[in-house]
Amino acid sequence: MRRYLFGFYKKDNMRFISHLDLQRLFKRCIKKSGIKPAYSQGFNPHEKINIVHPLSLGFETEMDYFELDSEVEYTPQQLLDGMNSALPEGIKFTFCREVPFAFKNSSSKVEWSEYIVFVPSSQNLNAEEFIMQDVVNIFKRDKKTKTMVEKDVKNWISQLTIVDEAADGTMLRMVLRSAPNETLNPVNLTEALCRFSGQPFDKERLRVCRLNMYVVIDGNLVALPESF
Amino acid sequence: MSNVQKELDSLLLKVEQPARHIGGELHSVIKNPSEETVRFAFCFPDTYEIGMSYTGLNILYNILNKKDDIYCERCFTPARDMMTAMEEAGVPLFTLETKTPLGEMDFVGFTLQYELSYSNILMMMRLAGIPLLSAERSESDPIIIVGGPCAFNPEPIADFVDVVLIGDGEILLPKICSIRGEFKKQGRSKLEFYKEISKLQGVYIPAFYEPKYAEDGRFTGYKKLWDGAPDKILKAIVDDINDVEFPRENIVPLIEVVHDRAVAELFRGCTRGCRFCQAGMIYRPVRDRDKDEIVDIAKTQLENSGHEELSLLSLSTSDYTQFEPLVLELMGYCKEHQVSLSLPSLRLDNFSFTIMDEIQGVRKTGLTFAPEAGTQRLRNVINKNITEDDIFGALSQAFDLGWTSVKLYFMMGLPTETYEDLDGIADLASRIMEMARARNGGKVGRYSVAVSVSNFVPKPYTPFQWVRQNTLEEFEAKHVYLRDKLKKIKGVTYRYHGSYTSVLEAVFARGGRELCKTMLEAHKMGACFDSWTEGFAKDAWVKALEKTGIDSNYFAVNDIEPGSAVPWGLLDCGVSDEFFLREWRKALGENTTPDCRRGCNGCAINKYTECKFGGIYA
Repeated sequence: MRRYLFGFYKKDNMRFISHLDLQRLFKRCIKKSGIKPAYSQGFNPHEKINIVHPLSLGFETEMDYFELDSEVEYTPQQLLDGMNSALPEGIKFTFCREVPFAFKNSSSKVEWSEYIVFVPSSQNLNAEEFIMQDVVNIFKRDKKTKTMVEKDVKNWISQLTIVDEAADGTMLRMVLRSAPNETLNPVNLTEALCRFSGQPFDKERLRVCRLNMYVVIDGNLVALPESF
Repeated sequence: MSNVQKELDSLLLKVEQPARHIGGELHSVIKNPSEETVRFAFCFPDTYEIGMSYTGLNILYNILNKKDDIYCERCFTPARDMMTAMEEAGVPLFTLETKTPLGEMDFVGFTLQYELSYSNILMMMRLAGIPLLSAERSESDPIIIVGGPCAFNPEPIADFVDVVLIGDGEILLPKICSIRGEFKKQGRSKLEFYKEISKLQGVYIPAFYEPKYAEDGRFTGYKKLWDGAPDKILKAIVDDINDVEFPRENIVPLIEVVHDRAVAELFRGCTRGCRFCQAGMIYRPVRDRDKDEIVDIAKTQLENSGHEELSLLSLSTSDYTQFEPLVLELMGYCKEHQVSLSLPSLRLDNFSFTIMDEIQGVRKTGLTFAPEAGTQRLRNVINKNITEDDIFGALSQAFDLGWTSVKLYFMMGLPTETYEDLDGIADLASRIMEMARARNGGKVGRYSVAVSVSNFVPKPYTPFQWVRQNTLEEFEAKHVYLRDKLKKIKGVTYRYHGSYTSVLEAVFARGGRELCKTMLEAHKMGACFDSWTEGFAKDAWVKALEKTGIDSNYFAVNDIEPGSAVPWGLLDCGVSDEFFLREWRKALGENTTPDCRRGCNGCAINKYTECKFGGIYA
């Protein structure tokens, strides 16, 4: 069995395509291009594919990852050409390489995600003091009780900096925990930062873009494709 | 970036399914329109998921966009949450392709697929900021144009509409757009344009006619307001559907829609002659598409889209002249490419069973029959040629092959129906369960029969166009009766439609222009999404009818004297009233009419075009 790792971007209006719809889209690309994926066994066989740490609806990404297992040997260019043949404007695969096959997929390897967040009509966000607090509380929706609960996420923040401050808003860069059951949503953190800084927070006008995903090797953050 | 797009960015994070509004799907068309481009907004008056499942949209979208001087874009009814968000933000309804407000289009076209979508049309016009009444629109407003099956009686929405097209649109619609382009260049008025296109077969301009009423309020016919208007409007007919292009690059939705699949049309029209069925009359004559063309359409669409399902479209799949070779060929292709083949409305003969067994394999879906009526007597009345022997013969085979669930479709309130016919429904369901139990050691087990009953709605252009509908009370009493009877049979479930919506359907199917004011009232009271159980606002309709002095019984629960004036009398689907009357008399005598392929029944469509299939099996 071979495993192929793809990187793709998803921008502009395509940020409104949900994870499930993106999966269906990629399956259609596979079908259209004639790429032969591996199938799961059983009554309802399905393609062995994986989108690493699915993005929230409404987020853009510069570099998200997709894995495809196949018995067939392809060149990365063949796969890129095939997968890019049926995509709408705004989504595109930008690289592909074969990685060693493993039982677990890369979703279990990734630990951190890097984001750019644009907060419109907010200035004077006090990012430095905010992350210096002993406890960094955010409000987060509890999946079981469906209520908002407060949670300390200090350990889930690796970096939080202001990249640019202009009249129309503030641009933040952040590296946040993005591992199974330990995921910090940049929207929740930005809300807490705005509250801390006494600034308005307009969730609907926030723009979030993921830049990359990282694995920790010897204490350093290494982009997923370089970690194999 | 257009202004709409900028606002949209923040709106879309507030609503469910934002991808309904973004466009950008594979094979959607982006053009750079100039001043001279004729811009057409194809509007389906329901949500994206429903509208994108409609093949007619893809056909016309493809044909219009093949022309350099025409740009066809799409628009659907936004869900309630999006409507509210748009109105709050002051964003007008826009096209998906270029996010252009509908008010800036040359044409805003609505397809009329079912009567209960009419309220959505008014809602969409309001969201677009387009004046609702034709008489109140200026030269700079778009032309509102409608087509589709319900356009054959457009009177209940005639005041809101400028141009009505009846019949096949593939040739007529591009022609009208081109004429509009010419007239625009020459700076000629809308009125001149309407006069010009009213000469074309299939074009009806409601403003050229005014309904007349007798002193007692009875409708008596139309008065022409312009002498040049035609006396009668015959539908547009594409003589050979192989001459018009069927799309091979269908738009591939990014979100899941009702029918997410490749689709090829087998033929248009139907030769069965079921007397309640409007589609079987207005789409005459039967016109086949060439088998090789169908195979090519199917393969190319699958290659272009990556779809996992292929469906064949027609009113009666098994009647396709080259059905067996076609299905065998497609089945081979689909198997090889892991595509599932779906064959709707199959007649259940030996060949169909072999095919379905092959297609469905071990995971069998339910088996569906549409006897439509519970007794042979009533099936003769409606000319539905399916007998109990057919059903039990097919079922015995189906049970042998491993099917366990059966779905039965019936209509309630058919002309001449009595409670004996309802007993017939229960009897049929009960005997099917007996047959199933006999194979299962007397136990019900996994076997099930689902009885689904809809209410009969008399439709124009059918032999039943003159007959009364049941009253609301009659429907309700019958449903209770049948429900109680079926409750006692183990393994049988019963589903039925809300009766009030059926009454409204009949009102709008047979109604006249006086209903426009009712539409407007209901719209003001918020009527929208009437075809959705959760959307239907019964109160708004009851009040609107009351306020505008319309007795729903006048249109629904009223026998019409054959030969008297009817609101749809100006329009002609090519099938003669004499034929409808003859069929109506035969229905009352419980006599059937054979399939047209066994001998021409004289419906008169061959006066206007070649009917290739009349009597071919005689």
